[in-house]
Amino acid sequence: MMDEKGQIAVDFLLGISLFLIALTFTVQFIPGMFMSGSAGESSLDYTAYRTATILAEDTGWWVNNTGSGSGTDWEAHTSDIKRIGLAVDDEPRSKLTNSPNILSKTKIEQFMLIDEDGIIEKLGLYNNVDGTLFAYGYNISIVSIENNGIPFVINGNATVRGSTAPDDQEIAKITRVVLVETGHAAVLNANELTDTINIKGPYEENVTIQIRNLNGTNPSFLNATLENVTLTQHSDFTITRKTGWTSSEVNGSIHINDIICLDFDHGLFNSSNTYRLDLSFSNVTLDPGPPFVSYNKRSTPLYEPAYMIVEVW
Amino acid sequence: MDNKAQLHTLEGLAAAVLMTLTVLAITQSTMIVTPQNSLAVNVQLEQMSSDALGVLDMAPISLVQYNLTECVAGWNKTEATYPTIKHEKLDDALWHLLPGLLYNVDFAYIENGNLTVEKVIINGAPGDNSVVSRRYVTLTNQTVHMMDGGWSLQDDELKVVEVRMTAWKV
Repeated sequence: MMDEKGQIAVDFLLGISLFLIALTFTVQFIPGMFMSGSAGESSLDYTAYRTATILAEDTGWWVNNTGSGSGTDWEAHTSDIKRIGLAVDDEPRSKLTNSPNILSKTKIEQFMLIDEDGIIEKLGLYNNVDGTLFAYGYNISIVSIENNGIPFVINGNATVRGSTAPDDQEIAKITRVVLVETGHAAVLNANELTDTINIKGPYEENVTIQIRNLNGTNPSFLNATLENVTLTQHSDFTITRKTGWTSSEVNGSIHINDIICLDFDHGLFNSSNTYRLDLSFSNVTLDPGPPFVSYNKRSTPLYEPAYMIVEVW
Repeated sequence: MDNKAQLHTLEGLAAAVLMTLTVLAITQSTMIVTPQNSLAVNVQLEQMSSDALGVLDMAPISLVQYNLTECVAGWNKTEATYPTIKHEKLDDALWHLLPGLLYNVDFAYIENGNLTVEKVIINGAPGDNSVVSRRYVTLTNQTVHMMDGGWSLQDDELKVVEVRMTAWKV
């Protein structure tokens, strides 16, 4: 008897099985087809990680054409750069650095000036497909932790390289905690501080003096004079106290355990003279000198905590 | 005339297209968390926490009042209890370097021939994807004395302390 109900035909069963097998096969063997975050894209993670590590932990390296000169101070030999790295190094002849994650100001300055092709080539920000190079998009920025992620400004340039990350693409991102050299400061103990400090100009960045271990009962800050002219707080200089990691403004009285930070505007020291800076405190006895403390001899680089963010797409 | 319920070629094609479109729509609209992605998140967390300890250890005098060694030296040897007692100086520094992360810190050191592990900062129970980073510091009696800490060391004694930080994201 002929059955006219809607049953599944063997033909259909065979067809749909074949189709499903073919589909499964395709999905299994071409992973990039249906999955985001596939093998091709995850190499972005490695690129971002590698770039961030090289920049934060390596000092860089240069070698000239004849091979007779080399060193880590690539920022002074920009035409012979072999590798770009931002970590500080006080011995440019040796390849070793003992200061990973501490970034040099001059290296960052040069990093902002290198041409686009140079960055992509030296940091390996490209994919090599059968001998053809495809450059990745990238964004490398160094931002302040204390200032809510605002980039630093070094020599008039914001510390950002590359273009803005697109919204509609998968991005690999790595953040590193680093210290960035932003200027210089003299750290002085109260017992070695003299009433007068000699500062030899010119300076392009602010002059910072940190005073530790002030003694006396109820000490307070009176004023600062430069070449016998009294300076104005806020416009010529700022004075802050630092307890642990928090800074607050000083209005007169000082706590003994505080670190006092005096930050003088660099405009005050713009010619190559030796300036005489007098600090005056009440209830604090300082060595009247001479000899006076020399700022230039005592100044060391000043660092700020920062995030270095590398994004690649 | 064929009366059986067979599938015609065009209907088959339409069904195939529909199925493919559905699969495509689902896979494209949701972000599939592949093992690589969760690995990347862990790598990031591990990197940041070990960076924070490293930076704190190497921080020059002009930046911080107390570096990692000084923080450890200044510990009063009171074990932390949640949420009242913790190592304030170390917590202040880590909180500044790692906003948005939670962490517990332990100190591990050898005392009288035994490994002692003491909790110094407790911020809660670590989550599933926690990472641990470590940094070693060496204490001398001079540093302990300067920081007014609770360690009792001989003048010629060196004490190595492992700072163990468990960090996680909430």
